Amino acid sequence: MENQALREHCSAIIERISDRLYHDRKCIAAYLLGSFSHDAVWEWSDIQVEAVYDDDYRGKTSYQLYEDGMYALLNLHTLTRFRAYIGNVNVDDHLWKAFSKSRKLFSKDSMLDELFEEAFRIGGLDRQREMLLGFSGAVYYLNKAEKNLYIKENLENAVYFLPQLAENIAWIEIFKAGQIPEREVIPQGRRLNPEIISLIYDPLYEKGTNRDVVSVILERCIGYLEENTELVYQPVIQYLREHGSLEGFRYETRPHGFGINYEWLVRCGLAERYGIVEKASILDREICRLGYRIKS
Amino acid sequence: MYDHIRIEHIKENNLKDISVEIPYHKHTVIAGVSGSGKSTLAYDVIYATAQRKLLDCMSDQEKIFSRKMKQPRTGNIEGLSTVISLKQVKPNTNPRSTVGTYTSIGSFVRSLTAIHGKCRCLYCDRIYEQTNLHKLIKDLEGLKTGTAAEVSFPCFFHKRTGRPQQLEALRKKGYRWVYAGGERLDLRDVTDVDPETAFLLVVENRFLTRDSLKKSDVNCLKAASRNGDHFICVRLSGEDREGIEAFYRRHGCPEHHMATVTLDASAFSYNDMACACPECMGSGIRKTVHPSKVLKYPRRTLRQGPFYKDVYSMSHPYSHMLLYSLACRYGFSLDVPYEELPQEVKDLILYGSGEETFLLQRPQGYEKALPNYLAKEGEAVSFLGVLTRVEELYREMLAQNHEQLPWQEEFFKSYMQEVTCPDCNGSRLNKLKDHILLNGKTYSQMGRLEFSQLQDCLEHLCTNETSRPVLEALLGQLGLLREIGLDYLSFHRRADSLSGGEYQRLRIANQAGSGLVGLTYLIDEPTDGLHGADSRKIIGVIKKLLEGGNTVITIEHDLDVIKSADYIIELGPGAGKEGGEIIASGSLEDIRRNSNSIIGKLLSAKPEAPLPAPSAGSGRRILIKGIRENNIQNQDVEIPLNQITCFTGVSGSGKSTIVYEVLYKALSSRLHGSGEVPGKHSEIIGCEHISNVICIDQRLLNGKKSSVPATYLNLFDAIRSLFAEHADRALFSFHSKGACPVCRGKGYLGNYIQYFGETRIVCPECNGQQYIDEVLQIKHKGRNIKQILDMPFQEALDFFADRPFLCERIRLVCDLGLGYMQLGQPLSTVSGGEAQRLKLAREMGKYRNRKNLLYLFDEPTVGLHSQDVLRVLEVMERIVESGNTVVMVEHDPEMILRSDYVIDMGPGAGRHGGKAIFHGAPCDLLRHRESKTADYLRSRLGLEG
Repeated sequence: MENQALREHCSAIIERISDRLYHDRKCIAAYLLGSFSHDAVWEWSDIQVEAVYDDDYRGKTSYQLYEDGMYALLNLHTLTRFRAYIGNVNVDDHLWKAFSKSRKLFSKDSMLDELFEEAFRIGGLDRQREMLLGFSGAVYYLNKAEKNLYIKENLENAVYFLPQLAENIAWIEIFKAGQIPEREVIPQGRRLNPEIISLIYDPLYEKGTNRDVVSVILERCIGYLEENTELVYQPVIQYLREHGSLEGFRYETRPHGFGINYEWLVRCGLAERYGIVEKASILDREICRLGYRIKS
Repeated sequence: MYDHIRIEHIKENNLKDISVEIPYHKHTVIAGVSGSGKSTLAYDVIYATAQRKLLDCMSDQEKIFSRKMKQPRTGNIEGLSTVISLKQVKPNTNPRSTVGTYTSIGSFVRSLTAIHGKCRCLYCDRIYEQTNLHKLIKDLEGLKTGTAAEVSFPCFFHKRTGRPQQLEALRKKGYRWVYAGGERLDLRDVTDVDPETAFLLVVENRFLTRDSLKKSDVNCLKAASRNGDHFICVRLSGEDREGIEAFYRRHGCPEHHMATVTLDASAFSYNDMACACPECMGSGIRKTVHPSKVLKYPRRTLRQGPFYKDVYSMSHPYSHMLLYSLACRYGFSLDVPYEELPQEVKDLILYGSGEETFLLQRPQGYEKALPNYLAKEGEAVSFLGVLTRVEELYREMLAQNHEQLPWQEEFFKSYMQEVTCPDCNGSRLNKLKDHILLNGKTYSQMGRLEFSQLQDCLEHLCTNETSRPVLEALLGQLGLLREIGLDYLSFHRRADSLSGGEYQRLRIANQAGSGLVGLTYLIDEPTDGLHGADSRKIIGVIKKLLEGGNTVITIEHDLDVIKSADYIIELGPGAGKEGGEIIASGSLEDIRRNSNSIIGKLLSAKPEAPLPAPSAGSGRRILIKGIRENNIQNQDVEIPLNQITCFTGVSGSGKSTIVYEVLYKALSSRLHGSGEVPGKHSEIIGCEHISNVICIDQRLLNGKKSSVPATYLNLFDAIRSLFAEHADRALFSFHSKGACPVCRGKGYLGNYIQYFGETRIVCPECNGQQYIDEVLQIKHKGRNIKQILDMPFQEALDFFADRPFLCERIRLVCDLGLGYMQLGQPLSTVSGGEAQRLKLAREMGKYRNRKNLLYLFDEPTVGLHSQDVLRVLEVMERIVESGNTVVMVEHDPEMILRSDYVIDMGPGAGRHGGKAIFHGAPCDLLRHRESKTADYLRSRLGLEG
């Protein structure tokens, strides 16, 4: 249960900070981030205010404030940099996600308001890219879990990978719906596709962890991934159909641990591997570089 | 107060204790036969002394070098000023070095374009004035507060990477909105745009106008101007319609709202990657593959493999089956020689079948297995094409955006050639620069104008206080280049495409335009490569240097220049030991009166018209049809075989284009398989009469730093063998332990000194002897190896009289007028003319008793005294008598008149040239009224009127 007195106390502090910023001629806008903007608060919640100044601001970029016995963090941005930051979406950026749930304290620039209004939409490109990255992550953890379960017969290790597998599947669901991911992606994914989360995540807590349960979860994951392959791999498959191979295929992704998993296309029977003869600089002989093509 | 340079008791090299006086502010010519000591006097004494004394005035660090420099063997020196050497040197081979960068003409035109350039709207070609940021901000502040301004900048697509990657790159830079052909797109959704779209407008930002723009708003305008290379688009929206319309009328294109913010000269620098063409990165050249580069054996059939193996090999089962299937599909044979295949089949093989597919078939009896990773029998396949495959590999390599691997470098170097970048058409600049005009012309169009046209184009430009001095300096420099006969050049022309003579004249013009006074200019044969009729142009520029209060010393053989000199020093009477004396000095009249003077006789003699009958020749000819290269427009040229043919005409008239770009490259590619791509022409008839082509040009000789004429002519091995009787033969090599370990057999050490370039100091270890003492103790006929290397060829002829192999080759060198040259002179110090004659001696040694050879010469008499010209001519006549053909580009009257057939190009240079205005016997040329060559010859022969 939230402490109402605490909220009121902190709201007064936020009001004072906002008021001081508003009266600063060079301050253009201020936003409240964190629990006070959209969530329940408790005694260890911090107050985080992000202020935007005109480009000629030359002072410190961060202040740790002590207000009425509370800790408050004030970050300052210059307008041009702030616009570029908000406009340059990296959907996995922690601060950007926090801004998407922020509360505007005030703004003196209607253009900034316009930018803010349309900044937190997931575009078609991001949607596709994030689904592909989530998928690649899911395939990675699936492989690890399968190997541990079926080859090494190490149930503990296999179970270890399942929440991460579920997290990546939830990630696919979130971007399929064009939403901005929250910190807790599995509950967010459950809201969007309760069935799949109940099939691949809930049994871990409800039925305990034995070989059969894990095996069923993995089967369901494979089924889910197979069902979504055409949708998620759409740019790759389209390129393969148009060009016959992935030679020359370039797909920009944000920094991510896994890259695009093309092997999945082989596993699910959509593509096959072949070799491209190439002269290797160090071996002084021809080698075969891996290529993929649509399975004939 | 001195009024002359005086150097006493000069004993350097072959100079025999002579003393000279060179008057100030006058033109002094040093003349004499080759090897008489002219260069020694000019360079080893006058220039070396001046350089050393100048170094003495510099910091202690530089003084160290001056102390180590060789001290010329002279007595008292008086009145020496700073000496500037204008020798013929090889132009810079960096493709970024152009006539424009060398002469500053490029910088002047850039400055004028930046100041007076008008801009052309990217959408409608409307011409508008450039604006400045201050005015733009003031006018935005003048709009009603709250007017929304959206600032964007143009961004052209390039071909180095795909469009999706370029859109992604914009996104990564933080841009979100773009306009493609008027449509506003969100980069979060767009993966590609219409391929017809050449550029995007990228939205930098939006802001609301107010009385005083915020710093961030100003930054937004600045950033857009920077990113858009000065071009921006400002779209305004709000209630202030009138104000907005007025703003649009004041800034740029009122319809499309494009504006250009204050241009600056650096915006035209192709060394700045932001301004450079993104395809060629400002080099103006791209690599492309040409059939002659990949075709090795044109007479082989497709089954035998006419291409280089790395490019297409029939030994690969897949390649074999693919080509077989292609032949079945299109109905051609694999057993017809490649060169006999119809053009459409050749095109199919070279450029591929495109999107059309056919079934992969196995030839009957062909049993080699296909690798499992490739298409299988019966599958639909397409043929990429031999050239297209190489192009694709190259494009992929570029897209990877990393440095070439060694094998890639070798592969692409072997099969690709450099061509003018098709995207910028050689202008080296990005496409935005085509939207900036000065007097109706873009910077790249001006770069292609001949200097005479550029002068006409800019002469009446309305200037202001800032641009007036720039225009004056530019017109001054263009005038000088016109005077010196280089008005056919353009400032985009690459420096490395200039001949040594052109480059030297460019340097002379630069100096004449520099306005420096009180200097001594040392000019080595300034008329080299110049048509006789243009000698007076050089004389005019020399006069300009004198008018500036300078002193000019030239080394010259040209009689017109000698006649124009105020003072003449003639060295001689012979070469080497026979020379080194002043045989005459004084004014022209003094020389004419001096009975010892050789030049005097030539100057006084009334030339007779020597019209020798041309040799009969064999009646066979080479016919080059449809030449369309450089300034030559569809010209046919016929060259008789077994005769001496001389191409004449003013510089830039197209002689070299025919002889080297077309004839040599075509024959070399055909006979040597060199893969060189000849200049454009329709066909060459009569090639079958030629068994080999040998090009004797003036390019400096390749070789190691230690190369000398003895090694170049393969004499040194025989000479070392003579010493082998006394010691190990290997000890006498420059790379052996017998050579000086410090200078590695060179005898000198090179030092690079700022402003002076490379200077040489005598090796302190061996004292210039090149070898260690033990080696120098060993002697042959009383001479050690160093003494033999220091021997001139003329002396070596007697010394090796008992050695037929050496004697024969040395005699040939002497016959070519190089008797004065030392056997051990570093090749890096020989002139272009000397290099050419050394090449001829080597090639003649190589092809003895061979017939049907075609020798191509580039001004073989450069640097030769009139007496020596006849010796070269005799050697050429010997070549023809042996059943071979000589084709030369020449300006020397003697050579022209004594050749069998003349082809005169002209009538002028550049766009005024490119036509063969005469072909026939030299005697008939004299009757030709349009030819400048004929004019000049008539004047030399005293046949005017």
